Amino acid sequence: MKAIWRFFSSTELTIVLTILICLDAAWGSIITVKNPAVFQALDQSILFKWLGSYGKTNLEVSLWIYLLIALLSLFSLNTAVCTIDRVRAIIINKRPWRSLYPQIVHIGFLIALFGHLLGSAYGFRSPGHLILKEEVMPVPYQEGLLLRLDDIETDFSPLGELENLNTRVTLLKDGKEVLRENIQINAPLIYKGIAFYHVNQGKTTTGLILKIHREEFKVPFGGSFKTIDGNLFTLGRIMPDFATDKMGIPFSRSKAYRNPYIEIISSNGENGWLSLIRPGTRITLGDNVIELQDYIMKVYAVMNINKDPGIGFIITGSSILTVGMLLLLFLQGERVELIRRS
Amino acid sequence: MVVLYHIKKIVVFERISRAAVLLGFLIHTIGLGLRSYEAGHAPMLSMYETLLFYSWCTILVTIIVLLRYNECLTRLITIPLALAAIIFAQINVTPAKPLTLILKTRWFEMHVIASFAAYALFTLAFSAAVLYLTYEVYTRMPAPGRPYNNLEGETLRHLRDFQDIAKRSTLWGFFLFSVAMFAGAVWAYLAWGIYWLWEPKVIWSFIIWFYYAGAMHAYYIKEWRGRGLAIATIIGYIIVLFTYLGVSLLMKSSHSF
Repeated sequence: MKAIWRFFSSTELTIVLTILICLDAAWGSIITVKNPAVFQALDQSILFKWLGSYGKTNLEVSLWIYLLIALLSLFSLNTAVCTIDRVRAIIINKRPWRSLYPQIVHIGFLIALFGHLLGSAYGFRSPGHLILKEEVMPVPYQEGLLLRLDDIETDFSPLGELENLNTRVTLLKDGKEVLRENIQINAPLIYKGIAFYHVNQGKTTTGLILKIHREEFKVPFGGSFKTIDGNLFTLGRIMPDFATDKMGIPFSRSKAYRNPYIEIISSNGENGWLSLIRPGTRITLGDNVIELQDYIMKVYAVMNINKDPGIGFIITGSSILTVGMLLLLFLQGERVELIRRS
Repeated sequence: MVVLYHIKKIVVFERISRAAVLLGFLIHTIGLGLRSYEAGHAPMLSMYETLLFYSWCTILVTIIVLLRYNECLTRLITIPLALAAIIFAQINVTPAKPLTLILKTRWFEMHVIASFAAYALFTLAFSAAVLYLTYEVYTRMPAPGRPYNNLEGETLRHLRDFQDIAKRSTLWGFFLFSVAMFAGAVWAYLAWGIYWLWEPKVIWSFIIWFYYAGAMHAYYIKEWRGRGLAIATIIGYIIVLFTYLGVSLLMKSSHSF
């Protein structure tokens, strides 16, 4: 047992492990370059979940990560044993407190690494949520918690660069407001460990303003409307690049919105295709001339929603590590500066 | 001039060299100031700006050694490296641009400034390590197992100084690099919710950190001091150069430099 303890407390082991960690990480960097899509996806995932699913069946891209985890575990054990040894020796031999400074660095490192471990095992990363203004969306993995986008304020420079962004959101728990806050770039909303990031914004068409016999209807996509004379119309499929084949059957040539049309279905089963290319286009269905007056536009934001239980430990550990190094540099009897020549 | 000084031992050459370094640094500072004024931010946005900043930091640490400690050999290596960075910067000139909104944060500033200050200190450590090895070979020092402390005279003093410069600049460099990684992680968390990315620049920064952590531990093993540590410091600088330039030029990375 003593031999094992001595083995894990040795500085030689530290050096060998750092070399192995560096070599493994260098190998891994080549794998990340060869498989960018795989690792971009990993950036949006929880490491251990990824290793347990994709990583388990694709060892050619994940083996180095398994090895890295094993080496880091040994390195942590080495650091912990070494720290315990040194602290014990300092206390027993009543050595000055400044002898503890390197151990403060070690403890900071271990806390930060523990934070990484927590963040790699628990929490979630949920990117790319599109939310429309004045609408709500459920917060992933949080029963009863909803996010509402109240407004987005943006300022642009004359060159078109985004200069200011303010996203006003409200969090609702079981229908009641629990927090109303602004999200800015580099300033996410953090609620009970869940962080909300604004990653993009814009305007999107959510419906159409149609005119029939001087009567105007605001209709969301997929919605219906009824005219005064009782005719019911429904907005149907959208063809982004509309064309018809030899039989006159409509189809879309591509997914790009080059020539968008929308299907309008009347209650008597008749249907027609209305061009969405510009306001003013029209079709006739039965006795009704349906004219596109305008589009219903809504502001939207794209949000990333993450929860990382390790972040607090990482910040605390890194701060302790930095303070420990500062103490080492400035207060260790032998000051860390170059020797002044006499 | 400093080479002439070492050959001829005429003090005037050393003084001219010293004055030239100080004057060059002053001009470099003015140049960086103008660039910062034009761009509206510290020079940290492109490869061009960071190369200029890196060379400025390298000369700054050289001057600290030069003025405070009267050391006049390390600059034989640091100044040519700083000049090489300036020349490389001139090949990669890019116009001054304002910072985008996501880069307008103290964390980003701290991340870049601490990184390049650390790189400069690693450069100083590298130059001291190269001089150590050169001196050791030149004076036909004993094998690495035998501690040089048994020697006497100027050779011993030089070797001690070089080792000391390498050790202390590595320690300071490691501290600043740790600050840079910490600041980068906090910024990435605040900006994107991720403090670690599986991409080459981040992985190679992790390698630098672990490598120098190992190198600093090596200092505590008596047999590895001296030549072993000097070689480790030189390899460390090669890793730094690869991380800064190699990864940017040879590998695709989310970092622009």
